[in-house]
Amino acid sequence: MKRIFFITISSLLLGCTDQLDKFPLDAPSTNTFLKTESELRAALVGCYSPLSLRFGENPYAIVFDMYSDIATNRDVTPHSQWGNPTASAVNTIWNTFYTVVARCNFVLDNIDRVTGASDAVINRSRGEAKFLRAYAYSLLSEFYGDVPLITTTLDLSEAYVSRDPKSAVVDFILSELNEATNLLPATNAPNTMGISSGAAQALASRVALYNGRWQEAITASEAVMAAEGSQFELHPDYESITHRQGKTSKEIIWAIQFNYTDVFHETPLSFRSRMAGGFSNRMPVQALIDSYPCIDGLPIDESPLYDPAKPFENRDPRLAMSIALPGSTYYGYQFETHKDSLMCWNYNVTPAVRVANLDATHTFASFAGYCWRKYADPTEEHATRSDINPIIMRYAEVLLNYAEAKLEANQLDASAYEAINKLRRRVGMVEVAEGLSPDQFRTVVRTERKIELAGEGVRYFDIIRWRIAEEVLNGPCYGRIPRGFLAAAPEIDENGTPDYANVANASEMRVIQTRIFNANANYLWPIPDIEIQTNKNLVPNPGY
Amino acid sequence: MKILKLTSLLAARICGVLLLLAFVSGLQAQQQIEVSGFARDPGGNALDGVTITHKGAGQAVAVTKADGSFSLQAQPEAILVFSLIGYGTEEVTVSGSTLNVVLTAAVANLDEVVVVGFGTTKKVNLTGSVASVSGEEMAKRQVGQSSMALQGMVPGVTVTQSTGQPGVDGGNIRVRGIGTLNNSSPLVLVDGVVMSLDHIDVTSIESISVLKDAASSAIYGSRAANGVILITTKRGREGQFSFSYDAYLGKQSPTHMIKPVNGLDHMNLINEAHTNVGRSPLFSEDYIKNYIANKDTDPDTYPDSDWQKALLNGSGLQQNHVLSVTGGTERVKFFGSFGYLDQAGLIDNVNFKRYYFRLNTNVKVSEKLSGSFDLYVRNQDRKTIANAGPFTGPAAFSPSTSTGLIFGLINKLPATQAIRYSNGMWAEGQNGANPAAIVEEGGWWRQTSYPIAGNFSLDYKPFEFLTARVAYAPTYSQPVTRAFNNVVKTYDQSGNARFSVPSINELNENMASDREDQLDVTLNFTQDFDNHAVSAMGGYQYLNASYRGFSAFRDNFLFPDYTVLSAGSSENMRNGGYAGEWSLISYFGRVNYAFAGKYLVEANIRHDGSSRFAEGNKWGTFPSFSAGWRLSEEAFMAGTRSYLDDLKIRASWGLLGNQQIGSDYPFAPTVSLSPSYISNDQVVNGAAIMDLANTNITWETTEMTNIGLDVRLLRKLSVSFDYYQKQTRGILLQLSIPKTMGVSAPFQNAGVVENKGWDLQVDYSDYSKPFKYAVTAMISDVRNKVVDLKGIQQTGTIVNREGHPMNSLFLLRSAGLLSAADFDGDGNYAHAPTQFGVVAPGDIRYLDTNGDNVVNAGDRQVLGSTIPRYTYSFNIYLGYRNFDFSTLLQGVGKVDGYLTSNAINPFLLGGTAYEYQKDRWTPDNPNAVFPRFAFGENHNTQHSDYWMRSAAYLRLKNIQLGYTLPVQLAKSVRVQKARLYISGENLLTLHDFWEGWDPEVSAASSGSYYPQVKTINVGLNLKF
Repeated sequence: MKRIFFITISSLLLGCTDQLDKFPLDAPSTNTFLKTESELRAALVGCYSPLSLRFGENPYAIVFDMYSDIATNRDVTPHSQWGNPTASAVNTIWNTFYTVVARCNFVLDNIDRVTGASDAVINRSRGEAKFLRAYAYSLLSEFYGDVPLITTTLDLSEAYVSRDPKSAVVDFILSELNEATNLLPATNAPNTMGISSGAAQALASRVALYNGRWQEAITASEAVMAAEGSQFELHPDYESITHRQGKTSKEIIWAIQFNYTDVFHETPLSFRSRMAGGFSNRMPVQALIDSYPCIDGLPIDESPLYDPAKPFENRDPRLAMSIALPGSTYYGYQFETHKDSLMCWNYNVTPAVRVANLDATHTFASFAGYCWRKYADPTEEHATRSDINPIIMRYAEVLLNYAEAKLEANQLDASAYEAINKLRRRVGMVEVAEGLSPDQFRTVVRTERKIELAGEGVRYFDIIRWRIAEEVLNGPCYGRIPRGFLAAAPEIDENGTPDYANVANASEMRVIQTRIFNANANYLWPIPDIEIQTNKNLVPNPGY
Repeated sequence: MKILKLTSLLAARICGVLLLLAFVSGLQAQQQIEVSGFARDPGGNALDGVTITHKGAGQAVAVTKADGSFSLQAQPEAILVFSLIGYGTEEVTVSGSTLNVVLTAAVANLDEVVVVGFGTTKKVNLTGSVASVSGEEMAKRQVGQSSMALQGMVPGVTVTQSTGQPGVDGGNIRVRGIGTLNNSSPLVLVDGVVMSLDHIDVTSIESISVLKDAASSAIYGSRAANGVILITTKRGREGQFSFSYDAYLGKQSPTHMIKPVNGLDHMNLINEAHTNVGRSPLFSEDYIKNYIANKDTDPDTYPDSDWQKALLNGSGLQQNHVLSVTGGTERVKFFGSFGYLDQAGLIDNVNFKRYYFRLNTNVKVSEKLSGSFDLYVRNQDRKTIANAGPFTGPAAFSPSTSTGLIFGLINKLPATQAIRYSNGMWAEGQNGANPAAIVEEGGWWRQTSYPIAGNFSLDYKPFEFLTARVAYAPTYSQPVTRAFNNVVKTYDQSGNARFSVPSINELNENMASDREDQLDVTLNFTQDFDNHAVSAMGGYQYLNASYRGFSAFRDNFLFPDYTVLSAGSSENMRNGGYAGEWSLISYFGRVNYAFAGKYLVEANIRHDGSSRFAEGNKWGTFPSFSAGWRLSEEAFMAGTRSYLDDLKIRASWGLLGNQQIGSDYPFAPTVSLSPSYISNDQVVNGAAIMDLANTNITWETTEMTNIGLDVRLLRKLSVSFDYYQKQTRGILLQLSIPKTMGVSAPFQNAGVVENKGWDLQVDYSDYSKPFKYAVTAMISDVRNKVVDLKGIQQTGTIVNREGHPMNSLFLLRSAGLLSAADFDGDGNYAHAPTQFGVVAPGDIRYLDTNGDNVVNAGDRQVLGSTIPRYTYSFNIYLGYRNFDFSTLLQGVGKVDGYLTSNAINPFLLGGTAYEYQKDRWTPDNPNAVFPRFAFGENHNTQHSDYWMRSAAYLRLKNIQLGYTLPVQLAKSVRVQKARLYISGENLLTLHDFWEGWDPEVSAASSGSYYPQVKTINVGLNLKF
């Protein structure tokens, strides 16, 4: 018996130490990572992956419009979403895009270790990583101003970085995009993960424009415009660009990729009307509706074609294409938001029937009385699954960038007018005649930008860089008059912003929320509080 | 039912074999006379279960029956020893054929034996801090999870419960505070093997020992830093064959529910919340007029719903049945038990069922060799509401559980929302999240498992002073989790389809297989030389755990009643898998030395190796020393013997470790294969480094010093006091690193946390009179402090910050509400510093604590603590003739609670308001408790001490009245003992927390949790 114990014990004691060597069974170690072409591809996917970021139902890019004057999130004011250092968006944007930066840095630092991949693959990969890192920095610098510019993988001892001037960050973005342009293929494949050289130039055009670097914006825009007809073109049907049909359109320069089964979003749920099975808690507001000029190109307070009793007639066709207007058909229902319209038509059945109209009676029907048509495609079956790719950049924006840069660079010429008129021609709007003063042209280009790109996440950056946020983001945010229309057209100012002071029944408009914008602080977002606490080298933004 | 049959069949067989053995051994008795008699207490009451042994022999020769009678064979002049737990031992010489013995009660029996690590010891010889609870005390509680039966039973042990949901209503156990920021749960060993306390029924527990200080628990070295709880299950005793049946039946109901306002109030108040911030009213005057006029006749159009009433329609019934048989001969002893627990929820489709079967067997092969063979098989089946995931969007919050979704919605949805229209169709709730429809039609989540635990040991005792033991304990479980999310369709009043959530039904199945093997080898030496008592123990332990699992998914089930994977569409089928393993190897030893029963010394050491650390950091050594001095045994104390039974002072010091830090491979930098992206509408898989790795990490170490005092007076009063200091160093922390690194922080051995506290227990009892009573009072305090976090300051509502207790509330300081005087003529805030957002009279005034003239996140301070202090309890027992009464009062003296979200923010995200929120600021009610209603504004909902309140409480945890049938009457129905009782759990709670909220709810709660329950039970204990 004793012997058995001894044998048991000694064999256990001697043979045991290997038993303590356990390593993960389901993932490789970092030491060997990034050596083969397939690993390189996987690492790049890792760089793209954070871009699937959603804020609730919506991809991040779409949400930015709800921080601006043209749209709203019914439940929260813009300021409460980013106006303090602990706000969730403030943290999420910072964390997500620095994650993109870190993953791109890792790829760029280690890409030389990859063996067995062709130069074409290496170049394209390097270009994609540089592009994505530049894109991340463009958002970070626009939101937070001066941000730490980290361009290699840091070790923990080097982690306590300080902020670099925004101008240095912008220099870096533009030079990186220049390099990326030379590394990336020219082919535009908008429904894929890949990035074209044109996308790098389009982003350069945007970043340069946002930062007042007019000449660089013009040059970059021209490079994209040179590929018009081959890689890029305006999609003939404006309405479908933001619908499923538009996913493969050559107008799209770069979009975040979603599909129906694996990584999808739920934008239709938050956009659709109550009748169409949505919450309609994210919606365009009255101020956007009134910004669309009449078909004659004149703002509604000047155009003789504007009839306050029939406010949606004779308007820029993009109004009805972008926004569900009362009286129109939306998802097969008669969309009617007048509070007395207790019944509406259901055209989804044949013959059509009258049904109870929730868009008038539901407590939480669209507060604005309008819904988005953009990113709400009636051919999508389920409100909770959308695979429409949110557009980050499309060709129309490059044309608008070009026109604005030409104006601000004092190079206003026919090509600038033509850039605008291409957009107008597409939707059947009257063209802008040459001969405008720079101020008049500025009004045209700003209004054109506001309505052409409405609902696509660009507006917030425009009101920030034009420094008009303090005018347009202060005070009440209006929805329609619940039982009627405005008695007269509001006054439309030089930026295309309506002012309701002169409208007799303005007080009847529904106040969705009252907004504040503190000009001394809010042109920049705060640096996240946790980051300030963790890294003493980071100085908070003024006013926070 | 099959199991039941099988069990009884098996038990019958075993009984047969064992009876035969008993008969055979009985034949060996020769030349003896028959002795019979009664054992009684001084009050003349029969004593049941008194063990009778021959002096000097360990084996029991007889045990008294319920009427106190016994009969046995003994040689004349033999000395018989009568003993019973709770009574003094009596030695009687056989002088005739009848013996009547009187045993005197002694609550603090000096011979009481307690279970300690790898052995037992007399309580008087303890040098460390060990508290014990008998299984009998635990079994007084009618709780589904045994951890809740420990609440209030041991000073220094805090048990908190955050939900009453069947199957997950166990408590969080903390021994002497929170020592680490990682897993702070104590090590729970059932007969030496790791198992959750909740996985074992209270009726099969013989005793529980809680090893609180380092000296007692150091023998468990690396796993003992948070305390050790040793559970010993019941075993058979020689000569004591019995069969018993214990059962109770009860009904649960919520302890607290928040009261939402009715439909009309909702409309008026939400309009006020809108107009206060310049928004248009949500409900027009016309609508409200129509509502008042028509709500009784047309509830479909003008609902005034009572969501609580509609949902809280589960039966809430619970029942527990335990059948056990026990018996033994000199060679074989056994204890077999079969139990069944069934708890139905407060809402439909939430329930828990557990069957278990336990067989503990001891076999004596020879004088030198003996063994034990235990088997524990359990079947657990927990059912709850389907995954909350698809509804978090519509419901606009993310609860941590699916029942949290339901209760969150019950507490949130306004009365103006219809539940179900008169045509039978479900109304839309919040955008398709209708809790009543989800419960009824949304599918289910279900977990079943059949864990099997074996425990086999061999004891070899070549000499009286030496015992060698090998024990092997395999544990195996294969939990199967299945979740079916069915489409919940909601409609409008005219029957048109509104929402379908989720859009497609789906089934997820997850099958895991977990295995743990434990091998213990120990050698025990014990010998007395004159006044010197020496014992030593050495051992080796090997623990290996591995787990593996896979999951499968399909969606689009055309026939939602057929919920097997193959009934779903193969188009979008998916699967996944995982695996991992870890192991521990330990060497340990202990030496005890006692001189003349007065001076006691003990030393322990344990050397542990863990696979969770990298080469070079795997091993840790954990020593401890303790000493005791029994003053009462000293000659100079001789004068005190008449009243002082025992007086002992104790001191101990030791080191303990912790290696449970969440991940099994915290040292290994790995590439995550989880990131993915889409290209061409197809998913592409990626890879990324998600966190920084740190290969240098090693054990957390806890150093603990304890001094204690035990006093026993007059055989009635005993007092035990301990003071301790505990410091945990090298706490493995994910210290915040700058987010600009783009990866998660690595674990570092960085933190230092300190706990200082004391435990006091006072028992007073007298069983000697017909009116028996016992009172136990206990109170303990722990002061927790984070000493060092390497300067990293956490932010958030609940934080760990240097110089403050862990899990402190980090809040803005408020100073009442702003009044009209704080604003200028234009309505602008008239003072510096500025406040948050849009402010108006009736909003909270925040203080600029850092003096920078801006009120912002930088002004937050640690203003409260969520760690309970002054936990106390009173356990009272009263007995008179055949009646017994007991009650347990349990409470917390000091702790802060905090509410968030809808609890403090009326009408948040489609929610309603609560009755208690009506006391809000208006120009006419300037001294309100609540600030003004301000829809969609976040000024008042900043995390501030305005929303913090004391969550101290006193709870009537259990109250019980029992009646035992008189022996004669019991006999007439052929039972040894029959007791009937009625009991209540959680019947009353006194507190100052927010109205409608349970004070034990986890800090920073929004109300989306299954509430704690109170229950009323009737029960029966039968012994044949």
